[in-house]
Amino acid sequence: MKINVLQLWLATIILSVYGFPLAEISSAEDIHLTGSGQDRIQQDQITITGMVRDENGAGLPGVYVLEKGTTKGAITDEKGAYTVTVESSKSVLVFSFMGYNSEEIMVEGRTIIDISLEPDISVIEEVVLVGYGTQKKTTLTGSVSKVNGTEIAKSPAMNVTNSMAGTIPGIVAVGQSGEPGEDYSTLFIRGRSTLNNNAPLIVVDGVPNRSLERIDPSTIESITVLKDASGAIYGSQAANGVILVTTKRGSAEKMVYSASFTSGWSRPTRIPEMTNSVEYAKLANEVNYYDNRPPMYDSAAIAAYGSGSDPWKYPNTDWFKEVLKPWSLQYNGNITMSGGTDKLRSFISVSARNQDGFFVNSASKYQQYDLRANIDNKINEYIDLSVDASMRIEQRSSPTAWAPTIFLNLINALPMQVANWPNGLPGPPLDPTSQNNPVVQATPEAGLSEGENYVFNMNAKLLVKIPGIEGLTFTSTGAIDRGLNYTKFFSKHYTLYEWDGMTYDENNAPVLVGDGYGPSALRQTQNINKEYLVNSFFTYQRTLNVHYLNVVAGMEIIQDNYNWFTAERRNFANNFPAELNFGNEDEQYASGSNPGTNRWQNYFGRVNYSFRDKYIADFVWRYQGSSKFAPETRWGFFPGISLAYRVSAERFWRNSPLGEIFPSLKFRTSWGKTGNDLIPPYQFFSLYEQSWRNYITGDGTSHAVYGESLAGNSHAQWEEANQFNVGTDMGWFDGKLTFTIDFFNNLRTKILITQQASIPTMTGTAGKLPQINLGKVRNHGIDFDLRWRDKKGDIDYSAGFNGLWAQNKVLFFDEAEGSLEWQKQTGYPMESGIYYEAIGIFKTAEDLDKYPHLAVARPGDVIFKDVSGDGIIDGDDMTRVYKNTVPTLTGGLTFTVAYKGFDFYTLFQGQSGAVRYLPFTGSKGGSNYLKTYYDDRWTEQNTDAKYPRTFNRNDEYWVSSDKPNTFWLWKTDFVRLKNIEIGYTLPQAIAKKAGLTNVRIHVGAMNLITWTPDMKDFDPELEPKGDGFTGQGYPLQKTLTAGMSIGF
Amino acid sequence: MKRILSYLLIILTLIVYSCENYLDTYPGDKYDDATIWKNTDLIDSYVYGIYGGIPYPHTWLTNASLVDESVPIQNDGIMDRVLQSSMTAEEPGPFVPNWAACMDGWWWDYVYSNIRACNLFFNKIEIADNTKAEYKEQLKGEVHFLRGYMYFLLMAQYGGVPLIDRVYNIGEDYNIPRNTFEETVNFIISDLDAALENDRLNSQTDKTRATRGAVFALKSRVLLYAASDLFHNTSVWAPGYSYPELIGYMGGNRSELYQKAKAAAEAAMNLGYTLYNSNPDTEENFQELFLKMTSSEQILITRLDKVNTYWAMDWIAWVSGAPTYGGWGLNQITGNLANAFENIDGTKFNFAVQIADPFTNRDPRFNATILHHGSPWYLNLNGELTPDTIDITTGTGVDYNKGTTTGYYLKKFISPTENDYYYGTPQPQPYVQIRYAEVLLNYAEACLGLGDEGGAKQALNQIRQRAGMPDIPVGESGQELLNRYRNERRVELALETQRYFDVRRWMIAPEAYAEAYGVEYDESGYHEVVFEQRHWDNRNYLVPIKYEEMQKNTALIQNPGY
Repeated sequence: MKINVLQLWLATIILSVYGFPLAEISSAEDIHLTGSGQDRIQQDQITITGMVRDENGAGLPGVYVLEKGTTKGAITDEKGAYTVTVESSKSVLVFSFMGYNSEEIMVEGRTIIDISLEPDISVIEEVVLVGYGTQKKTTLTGSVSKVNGTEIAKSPAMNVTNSMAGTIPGIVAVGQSGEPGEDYSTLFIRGRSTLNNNAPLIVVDGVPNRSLERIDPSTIESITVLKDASGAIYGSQAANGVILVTTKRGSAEKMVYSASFTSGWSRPTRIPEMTNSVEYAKLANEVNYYDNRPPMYDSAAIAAYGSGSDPWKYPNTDWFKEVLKPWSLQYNGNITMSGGTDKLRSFISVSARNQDGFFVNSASKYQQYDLRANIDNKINEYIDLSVDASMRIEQRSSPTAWAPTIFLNLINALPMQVANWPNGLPGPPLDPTSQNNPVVQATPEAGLSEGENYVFNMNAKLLVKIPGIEGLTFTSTGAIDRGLNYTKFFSKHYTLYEWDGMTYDENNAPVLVGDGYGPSALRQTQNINKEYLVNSFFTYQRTLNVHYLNVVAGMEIIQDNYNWFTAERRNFANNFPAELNFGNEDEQYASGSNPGTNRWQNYFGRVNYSFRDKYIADFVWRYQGSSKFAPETRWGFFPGISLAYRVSAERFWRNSPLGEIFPSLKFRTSWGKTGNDLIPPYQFFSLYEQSWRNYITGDGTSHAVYGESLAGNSHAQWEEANQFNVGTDMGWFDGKLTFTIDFFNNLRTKILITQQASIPTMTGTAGKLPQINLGKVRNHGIDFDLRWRDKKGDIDYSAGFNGLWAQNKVLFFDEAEGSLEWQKQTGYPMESGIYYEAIGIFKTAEDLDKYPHLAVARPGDVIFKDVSGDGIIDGDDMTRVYKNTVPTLTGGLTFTVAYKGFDFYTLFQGQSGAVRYLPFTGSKGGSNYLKTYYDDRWTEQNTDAKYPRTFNRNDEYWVSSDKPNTFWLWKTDFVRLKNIEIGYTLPQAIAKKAGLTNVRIHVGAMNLITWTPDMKDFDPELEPKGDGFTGQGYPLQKTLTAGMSIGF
Repeated sequence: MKRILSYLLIILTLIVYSCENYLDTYPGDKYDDATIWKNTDLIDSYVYGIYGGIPYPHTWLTNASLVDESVPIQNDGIMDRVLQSSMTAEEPGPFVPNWAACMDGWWWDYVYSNIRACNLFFNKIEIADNTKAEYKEQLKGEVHFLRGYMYFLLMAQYGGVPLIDRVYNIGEDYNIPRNTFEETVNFIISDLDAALENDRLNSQTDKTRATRGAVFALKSRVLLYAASDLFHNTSVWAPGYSYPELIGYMGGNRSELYQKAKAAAEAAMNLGYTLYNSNPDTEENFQELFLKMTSSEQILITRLDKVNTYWAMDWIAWVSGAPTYGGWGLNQITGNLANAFENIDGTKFNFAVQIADPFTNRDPRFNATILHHGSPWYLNLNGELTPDTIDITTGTGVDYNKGTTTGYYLKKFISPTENDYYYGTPQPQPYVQIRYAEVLLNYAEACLGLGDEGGAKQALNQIRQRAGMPDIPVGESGQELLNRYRNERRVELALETQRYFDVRRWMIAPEAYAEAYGVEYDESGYHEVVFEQRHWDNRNYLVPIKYEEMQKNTALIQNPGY
């Protein structure tokens, strides 16, 4: 592309702002205000004076008082007084004020008319964001959920995605980790619908593909989720749902300043209890007993471990206690300025947050600084220009050893291994190959990986009301986003101390010998992301009598560009700083860059029509092209249609008995076709990629190596989603109680999958297969939202209950031709694993005769079911378990109470239907066992045990990675007290004395209590990383908070 | 009003116009067909990629730890599948991707992926119109050699395999049956012959690429395998198997195969290679053979360079080196191999008899291959090397650096002066994939197969003389001579990925998979100990085709016993 689209767009803005002849349009004054002075006094004119008061009797300033049918009128003064002249004594006065019911009063010859206005509840009607526009909630046709920023801000979570679980109906948030800077939840809208990437499209202030998770929660005005075909206006990216985030803007009031500070203390939600030295020694001896070997630990040693009298020779280490702090500090602070005038409004926010890791002297830390400035400028009556800029600096530091692996080491480390010697020096490495000791690995002693991520988001929006055509506006947005990630991974030599167990110095103290470990190297990585967007659209919005029409049409282009590279040098002297020039220049490595560009070109539109706000139809479409696909297949048309019927607006309904039962009732339905293009681009090319290793020829030259990396599929296209939704909104008691329920049925076709299950690797295609539009999945379910809000005297309270049940089923999957019936994926929920079915434990030798078993099986081992029925336990007996790590049922329960200055908020969150595969750890001399296992394992004395006999990990068939089995499949059902907060706002009078307008103090907690029926040793949401070993993950946080906010 | 609209319209039109090719973007870090095959350097890069598929045996655990040469210290059950003959199609131990990585260059997926690369080359090379015709011919010859090499890897593991000589695409019928063993051998031989066609390789002298010598040497190896007992006695080790043609010859002519193997070896012998013999100290000479960058003994080499390769020669020092040196000793030499080295006078070594002083007066290759108690070596402390000796005395404390499992560590391939393994400078030596000594041994074995004992001895004595060992006694013949040959091949080519296949094709696996010996030393002296008991089952002669592949391709027939 030769012409820079962004420059063109800027030219548009400049031309339209400055090239617009202001004189031409300064004509259409609608209201001729007449104050006390009058231009002309006619014969039968009457002058009327009076007071307008609010519901409490106070004067209302700024109320329009108009003579009906004319443009003549007045505005009440500061005290609520007005004077107006009307044509005749038969005139009618209309009193109107934002937020109050309008009143029409016949003059009937009076000259003094005092009235009070009643607040109008319906006018504070919610407006809901939809694609490229807004709609009134009452006439909304799609399935849309919304949560306000205030609710998000109630959670002390550093990451917005962690605040979304349980608060928005229809969203599944699966927790991952609690590591500072890496703590996020994976979000699924209405569960999962595709075998591929299920990530929803995130649109922040109209710009897609911005990050949601690290956005400053205090700047969020609202989060809106488009769950059904109403997202079709976002086309080939909308199939997984769309999350629209709006940031706060200033209002035309005097500037309001506020500051808040919250500090928190966090610790793991759950860590496993491991066996101590005595217990471990018993287990190791049992392993030897089963192997017919002499005990590993004699009774004298066990007694010495038990007594703890010689911590040098007979340690009993609680590794979690040695490596983790009791509490880790976190805090965040925020200052905002908001307000302005009619002409210029602004919202400016500055935030800083800091989070410490769980480790003692933690290498793991996170800091974030945010600045946001949203400026709205009314250039003239017809032109509004908004400019938003936000800047974010994320600073992460983490150990050079992967944090999840440190936790794995804590679980594996034996209690008789030394973490710190009694004199404070770190103990020896856990094992010769890993050469590490978590006491050191978790700290900066062993080096540090320091990352800085800079995010700049800038967008400008021009809104032009086209004069002469009422209701026609032109909107144009330009956005530039940049992300720059810069990481320094510096690993250092560190010293660990060993004792040979017999050498003492002259003072009879053991002599420790220090040895250096760890390579020294510095690796720097730079990763840059650039994105721009330009869109322009016309909106025509008109109400004519009983008809309402809203039409949108426009176009948009988006470019996303990324590139990274790394550079590395090795062999740094120990005290050298982490700068590349101090490394050995003969050992420098630069691994290449990985540039790429994705582009989208879109045409989109909407037609929304409603008749008497009763019958509503909405049609959206997008015609979209994506650079990820071949020219022949890259364009697609995505329509969505939705209809609504407000039965309760019908007179016959209101007068019927049903109308009394359902005073407010709306039915909605929608259908649409959207796409998902979250796949690696260029599936249509045959590609050759540089190999990770070079080839060196006889002359010593190192040659780059290229090999086929992708056998192209020229027909590759986005996946197609057919989304069907039917729902109803109900309300009772003047909107105090509301209930929304939606049923959805989504059919995802043309899912891009690789045929690795059916194409034999003898074709040489392993790892080179392209994605093909083959898969087919149906996802259906229900989501609902029930809310009650009322005020009784001083008590303002509310309760909310929302939930989602979603179940998917694979309709077509790539299966091997010879695959067994009970191992097939087709017809069942996707991503279900294949396992041997564990049906118990061989309690006695007699049990062995009752079941087919492997030759090595003995009492205390796990019984595998002979699924194929051939009397042999082998691969044919593995069977698919139709469950996975994503829950089918999720929900949240909230309560809020406000009484005088006090406020209280709580959120319970729960899920059910997911499983996690976690085999226990433990091996003789290799890794520690869980205490829960120790307490109830099979022995010859305890044959009714819950767990099998003492094992060496991987030696016994039922704990080997070769034979995954359902014994280790745990249900991750849970209910947790996700958030709780109690606040107190000081009475205005006291605040005023301090020169403040508002003071609120609060205390709260996150993840305070978790109930899990099945999974006891780990947090049910902890995602095991890497090889998925037990406990290889950084635990989620339980946080206590206290904070204060002030306004001035 | 009209002006603003016209501005907007102009701009919008411009945007639409400028967007004509807006959606044509290209991958920034990859090439497409059109680029690769029009550029001779990139075609070279492509062919180098296939060369990279020639396996390097010393990764994490080594191929030697799957037979009676060494012991895998971090076994984790994967190696046991072979050592205890418990392999199954679902769990083929080291023959599918896993952390042990010891056979990663041999994996079915990986080898077939390289075969596809060869086939794709043959498809595309014709459109390479910027490459000189002569050079194209040479490349074709090289790729024929490579495809032959890849099929050799499969043949040695599986017997007959599907012979795929074209590029498969998506949407085809993949139920491709196995070819017979004979067809597989013939296919390899025809590829190797094609490599030599039209004197294609005559000007190619770079030993990291296919030379005429490499083609002949590989040909002699393939034909020798084909002539071996295993593939002519299927009814003995796989009785009742319904498809014997997949795993051996049906009435094949062994003499003819030996004859051809001998001829191929002779062709290589006529190319001027010599046994490395530059150092009068025979022990140091044999050690140097694997550390020198170039020598006239090399026929095909892999040059490794730490900057660009991960599994470089220094890995072997790190992974299998003695702990004093800073290694982990993950692959420790068995007593079985240590005991196979003769005494210096050519007599058999006997541990029980020589227990007082087992390590002196041995074949010089013994000390060049193995570190044992008392071997002079180095202590690596914080990157500094100080002279030291290997100490395996039991009970010398908790320091794992002193611990040892078999009592023997690896010395062959490890440079005593290049200590900075891992993040240090690379050891400069190449890995010798094919060397002249093997050609002589192949020749000797073919001679023995044909009853030409004189020819065999003549070749063997060349090797023994270079090693500093006396000639084979003139009167030795028959089974005794055969055993002498087999032992000679075992010690000369120790840890060079030959033994695993030799014990199979000679069908002597039951004795190789029995007791694994180690040695201990304490104040009372040396003790030979049985380190572990291994187990042999005849199905272990060939590797099973993995379960998933059998499910995907229902035309496949599994190897016997699985």
